[in-house]
Amino acid sequence: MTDTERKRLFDSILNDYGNMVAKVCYMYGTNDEQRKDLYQECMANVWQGLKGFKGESKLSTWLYRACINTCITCYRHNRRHDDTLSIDEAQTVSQSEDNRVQNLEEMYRLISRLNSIEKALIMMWLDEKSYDEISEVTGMRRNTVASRLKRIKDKLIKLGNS
Amino acid sequence: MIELEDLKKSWQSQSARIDRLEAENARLRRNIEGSRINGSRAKLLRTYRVLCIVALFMLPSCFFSLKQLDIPQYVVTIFALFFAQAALVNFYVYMRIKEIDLTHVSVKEALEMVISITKLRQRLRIVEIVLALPVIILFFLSLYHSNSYGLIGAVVGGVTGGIIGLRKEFEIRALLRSMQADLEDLLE
Repeated sequence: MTDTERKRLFDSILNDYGNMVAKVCYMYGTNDEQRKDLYQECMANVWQGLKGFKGESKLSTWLYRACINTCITCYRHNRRHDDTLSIDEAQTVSQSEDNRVQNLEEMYRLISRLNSIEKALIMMWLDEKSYDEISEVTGMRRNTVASRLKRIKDKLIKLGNS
Repeated sequence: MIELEDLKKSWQSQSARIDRLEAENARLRRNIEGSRINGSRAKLLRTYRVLCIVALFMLPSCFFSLKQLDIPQYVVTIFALFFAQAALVNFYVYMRIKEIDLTHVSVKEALEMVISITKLRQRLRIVEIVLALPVIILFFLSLYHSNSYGLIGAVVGGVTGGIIGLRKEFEIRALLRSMQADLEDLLE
């Protein structure tokens, strides 16, 4: 990949997948500053990794792998578990629909109670990634992915109803 | 009653704060133009490169500057040997970190790789401290006999460095514990 191609691809990643990367960072960071740092760190790794990107896997799957690996292994201050993630702090574009905002708040509240690996699995499931793609990203066997996701969904339902 | 399909819709419909994202992306685009996108891996590589160069630079400096301080020849030799091994160790760690590419390995492999290098760095740090202790003691003793102001400076520097190092060590241990828990969870 030439330098121009790499720049062009990186630019399109910022445009088309910036939101996806930001969502992953929001889930792993516990405050605005951490999320911003994680976003920069993810994009720095994506930029470096593009040198060796040959399109063997889908771009979105490759990005998920780069971002989750970065978020899980990156050092950040105050890595405490935070289940009081505020929707206002985390995002959002339109808050016109009360119901939608409530759903988002509920989603953030529930997912922030999961551990790092569970978050990774459920985020990819929420984004309708196939079991094969999740398996490729995490390194888990396909069957393990299926059974872990079943357990996480049960956990989310239990948390949601408690 | 929570519906997982509602969660899915919420996840897919949400967008990050566009204004913030655009500002961040604009900054990243500017940095690409100036080739200034550096993550923590690049910073770590730079640190080890600098440590390696400093250690190499200290080798000849030992013979020139320490002699002027009237420090015995055997202390100078021990110093030189210490810096020679420090240069080699830092170069080795630099090469190991250079191998890390978080974009082309699975989460499991990434965790294994980062844990292994973090542990290696921790162990080497302990070895370095053990090797440095006699060198530091000899250095302090030599200063005690020849330069009392130099000794005070060295002690203050040593204590400050020790406190900073200890704090960093605790932070690294916390990260290591968290990564190990994630890896165990993946292997479950």
